[in-house]
Amino acid sequence: MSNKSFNTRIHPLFIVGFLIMVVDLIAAVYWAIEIQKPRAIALKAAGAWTWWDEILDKLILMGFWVIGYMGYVIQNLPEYRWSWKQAARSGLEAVISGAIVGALYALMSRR
Amino acid sequence: MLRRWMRGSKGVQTLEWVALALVVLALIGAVTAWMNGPGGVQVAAPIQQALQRYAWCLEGAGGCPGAGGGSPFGTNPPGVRPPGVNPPGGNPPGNPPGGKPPDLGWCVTHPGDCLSNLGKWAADKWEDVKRGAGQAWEGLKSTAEGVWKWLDEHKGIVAGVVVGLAAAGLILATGGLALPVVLTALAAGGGAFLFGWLYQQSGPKPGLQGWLEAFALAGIGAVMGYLVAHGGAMLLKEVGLSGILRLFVSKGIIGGVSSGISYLILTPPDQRSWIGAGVAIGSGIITEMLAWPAAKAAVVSIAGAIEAARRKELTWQTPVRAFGQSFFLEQPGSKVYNRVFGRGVGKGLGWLSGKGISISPPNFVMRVANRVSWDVIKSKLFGM
Repeated sequence: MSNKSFNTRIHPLFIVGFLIMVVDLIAAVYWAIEIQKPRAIALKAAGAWTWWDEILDKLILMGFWVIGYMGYVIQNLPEYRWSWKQAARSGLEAVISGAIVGALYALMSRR
Repeated sequence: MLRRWMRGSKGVQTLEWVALALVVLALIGAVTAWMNGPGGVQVAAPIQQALQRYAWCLEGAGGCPGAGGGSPFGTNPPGVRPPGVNPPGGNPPGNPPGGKPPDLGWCVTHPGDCLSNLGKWAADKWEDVKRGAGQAWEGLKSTAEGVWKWLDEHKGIVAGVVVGLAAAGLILATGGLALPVVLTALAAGGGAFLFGWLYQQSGPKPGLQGWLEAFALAGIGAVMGYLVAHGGAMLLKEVGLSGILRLFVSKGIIGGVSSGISYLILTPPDQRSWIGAGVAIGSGIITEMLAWPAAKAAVVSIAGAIEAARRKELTWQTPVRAFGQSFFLEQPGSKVYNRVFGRGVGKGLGWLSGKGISISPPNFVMRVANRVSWDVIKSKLFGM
């Protein structure tokens, strides 16, 4: 890391990609907690919560995940000479390790 | 010739030895004659009685603690006098009762009786010593039991004193060099205990399992704190504040996004919280910004180990399929979810097996692991 020199010039896409990720994350959390949570509580209390609701919930969140990852790819396109594949590959490790940490925390926070 | 030999050194030595032998023979003869007479009876009787008493006691209970003096056997064998009691026929004049040694003046005039009483007195004293030793031992045992009970009831104080003494000893032994290390260890230990106590207060779990969880969580907190502090210091030193910021916007944020959404997906919709999401996002960002892959692996593996330990219903005997269902897909209160996704995982594992890809441990490992299940460890080590 000490040998890596950072590029002092920031490409506009870097900022765009970063903003996509931040907005996507805020939107995902807001939707999951402020919109979906009360709805789920109400439906479960009424006994109307089905496994399809559960799957749809996960699918929507996965959609947010994909959008966030696309933000990362857009952010890194200039650095990887406009190669979508290389830019996406560079973030794979970060996505996987982040997913594991989040999953473990989710499991631990449940009693 | 004989006279010359007798005057020589060899002859004199021989004669001395012959004379000594004659004296010994004479003494043996005299003692034998005396023992066969009335005096011999007086000396032999106490010895015989003592032997009888001990043999009787040994037959009774395998020992002879204070026979005749409040012993568990109650009385002496028939015909055997208890120690300290004078023989029938009255107390000899000059021999005061109460276990005192025979009077010297009386002994001069009654050598036979004196010798007999002397033996009895010595036997009495020996019994007293044994009785005293027994009482002292009982007292010691009682005291030790009391001390042990107190220690058992005040484990916290004892542990504190032991830790304090060990810490002080370490500091003194190293001439103060170990002070920072000891203070750090004490702070970490105290923090872990405090966390364990708070954890138990917030949601008590019985016995060892609850404390294991508490200490595991405290451990991950400590490791995470260390990694973040150490990694942060390294980053600050190597790339500076702007470098850290750049690392955050380029790498950390995608870790946070991934971790946060992963948390939301795996948490039931009605149990999600802002704090939970915040912690997950923060953990993801920090983990992703850690400089070394080993640090990431450590964080993830520690968290995974805690989660695995937390699910105490899982053992090495749990089938892999059930383990997968429980670990990744357990949804409290949502049996439909469990059934549908658990079945999906099972199908997936079966499909992989059909393709020749087995994620099950080898049979040998499973056989060994089955013999060392958590239940066995618990029962053998902790008696639970």
